[in-house]
Amino acid sequence: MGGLTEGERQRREVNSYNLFYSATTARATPSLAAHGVRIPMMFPILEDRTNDVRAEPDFVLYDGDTCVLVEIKSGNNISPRDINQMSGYSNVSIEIAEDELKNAQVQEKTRYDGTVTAVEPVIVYQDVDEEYIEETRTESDAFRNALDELTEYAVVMTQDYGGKLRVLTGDFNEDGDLQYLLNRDVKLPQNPPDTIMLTEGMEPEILAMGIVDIWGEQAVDHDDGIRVTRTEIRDYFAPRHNVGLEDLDFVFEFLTDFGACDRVEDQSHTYIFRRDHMDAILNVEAQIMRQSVENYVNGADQSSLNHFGS
Amino acid sequence: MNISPSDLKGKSTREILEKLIGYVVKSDKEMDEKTTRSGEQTDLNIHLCDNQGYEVGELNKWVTHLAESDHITGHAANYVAEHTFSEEIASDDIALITITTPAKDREDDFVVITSNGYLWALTTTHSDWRKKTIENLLGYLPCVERLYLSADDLEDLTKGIRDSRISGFTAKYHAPNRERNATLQFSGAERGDLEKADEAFDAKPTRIEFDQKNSPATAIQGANTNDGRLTMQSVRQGSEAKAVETLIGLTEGYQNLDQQSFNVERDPTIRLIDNGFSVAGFTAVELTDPDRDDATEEELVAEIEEKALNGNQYRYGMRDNGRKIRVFDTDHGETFDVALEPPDIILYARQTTTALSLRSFVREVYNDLDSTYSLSKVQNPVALE
Repeated sequence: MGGLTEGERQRREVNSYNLFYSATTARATPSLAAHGVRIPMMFPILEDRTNDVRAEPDFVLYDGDTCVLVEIKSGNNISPRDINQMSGYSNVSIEIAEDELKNAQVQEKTRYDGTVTAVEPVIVYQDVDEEYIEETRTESDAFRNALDELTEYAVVMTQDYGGKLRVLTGDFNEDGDLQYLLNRDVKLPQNPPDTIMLTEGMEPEILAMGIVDIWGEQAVDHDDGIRVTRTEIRDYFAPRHNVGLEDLDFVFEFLTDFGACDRVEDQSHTYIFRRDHMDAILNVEAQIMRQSVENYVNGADQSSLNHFGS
Repeated sequence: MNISPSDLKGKSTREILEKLIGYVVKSDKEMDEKTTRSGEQTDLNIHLCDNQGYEVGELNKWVTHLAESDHITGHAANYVAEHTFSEEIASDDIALITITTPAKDREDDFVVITSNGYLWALTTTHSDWRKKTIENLLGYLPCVERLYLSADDLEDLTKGIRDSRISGFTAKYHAPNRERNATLQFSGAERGDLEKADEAFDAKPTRIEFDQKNSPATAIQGANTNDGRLTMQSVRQGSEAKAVETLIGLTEGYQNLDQQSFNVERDPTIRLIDNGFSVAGFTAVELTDPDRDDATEEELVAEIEEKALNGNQYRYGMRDNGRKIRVFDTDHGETFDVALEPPDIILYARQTTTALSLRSFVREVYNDLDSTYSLSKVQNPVALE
């Protein structure tokens, strides 16, 4: 774990998403948005069951011609799973991409009419740079082979806070405007916005932060508070982010104990966020950075007991 | 003001401005003899406000709200207890409001005009009482927020007045790292003096006076203030029409610049779509390039907590290990994020954020934290639209 708490580790993961997201905003230079690049979908599933194709990119970029499927990794380790994922991305045809874009409010008679001329898989590793690639490629046959295999399917990029989103290795399939932009480097902000609060694993910590971000904060706008049930929350994150009902019960045990919401009496698994919960809502993240949800709910003793037992 | 609702009935904004400018009209002799602009003379002041819900005829409702609401601090309740209020309606969007202070046997009045999301308060009341009565009321009304311009925008607005020159200004320097709080008052200004103040002291104008000619002599004297106030000090007899044009131009210019700085046109609302999520848009206000080279995140957070987020208006929590602050503005019922890029400060709009909370926070920063920041708003669409 390298001294990081569960919350801090998940924070790094969401920050990687948000850093990439910031490339499309007006705070990046050049801003991809200013060049007509949009994000029609985040966390979609692109599939063609008859041909056994399935891809689950984190972001889809689209400028009216090219569809870039982006996978974000917060570390630097190329795993066999990454290669598998990119192999899946590379099977996404122009037709599949066009079909799925139709679900994302494409606009007839605009440049965003759903036409796709190229699909480009991209994988972004956070903690990698040119030097690391060069050194590890020379030192490790396994790494070189993995990288070679990966670049058969995808372009490998990296990104850094206040640094650049840039291509490390691999070639795009086509040479459209969007490919040109990505090849030319995008300067990213030092501190991107907290827009996406999801992780691959949807652990209790990020779930608690996401729930207060999405539902808790709406309390500021509603005199009577905001009610939400655990199934509404599960359905909101499904199908890409599989959130279990027991996990939600656990997270709500934390949130109610912490004073960020109340259980609604007489209605099972229903919770209410009110304005007078705002102080606690605003402090959920700071609490989670200090201590895991498990330790808060079950007491820190529990984990130290386990620790002694192991 | 010696004005009655019947004077306002059926009148256009232009006609009302013309009538009120009458209070500052001077003869040729008075204009030419005048050596100083300060003192006891009568000025016409126009307060420009962002209006998120005040409608003519609703004053009573809001006064009751101020007296009763537990969201509001004791100051507002005391203020309401010390004054009585009357609103005489001239038309759907024009009224005359009188604030009485029984203890001092005073009545102060102003004309209120609402249009297109803005509220203007026009008055000739002198500054002490104007602040105590009219400006306090505008400050306490939760649905009304005075416009605000950065020093750069205030300068651009004033320099854009045709046939005019800058004749004086107030510029301020205030920055935490220098522990200095200086105000520069400059009258009899000549071309370039404003720039010299900026270069020599990093002092940023908060009020700029101008003289406008109506060929050939100086015909109109006025001033623009960064906190949403325009002043007409004197208008030479015969130049009333030009003064009305100038005022109308200034109100439009002021509103446009304020909008460019603070309006959230691209909100980051997350939508569930058939296949995944989409984020509608992105808006950020960047406060950059202050008069300091460096600051640590901890220093900047401490300064923001002490100077900008102090007081009852804000609740907040730290995020991202101290690199961001999630702020809840209780006056306006909105949240937004403050992201630190020391020494720069970035404000990210959230779903509930509007110009009200962004403007209010930026004003705190300029007034109490550091007057030397430059401001720019950036925005873009993210999802397909």
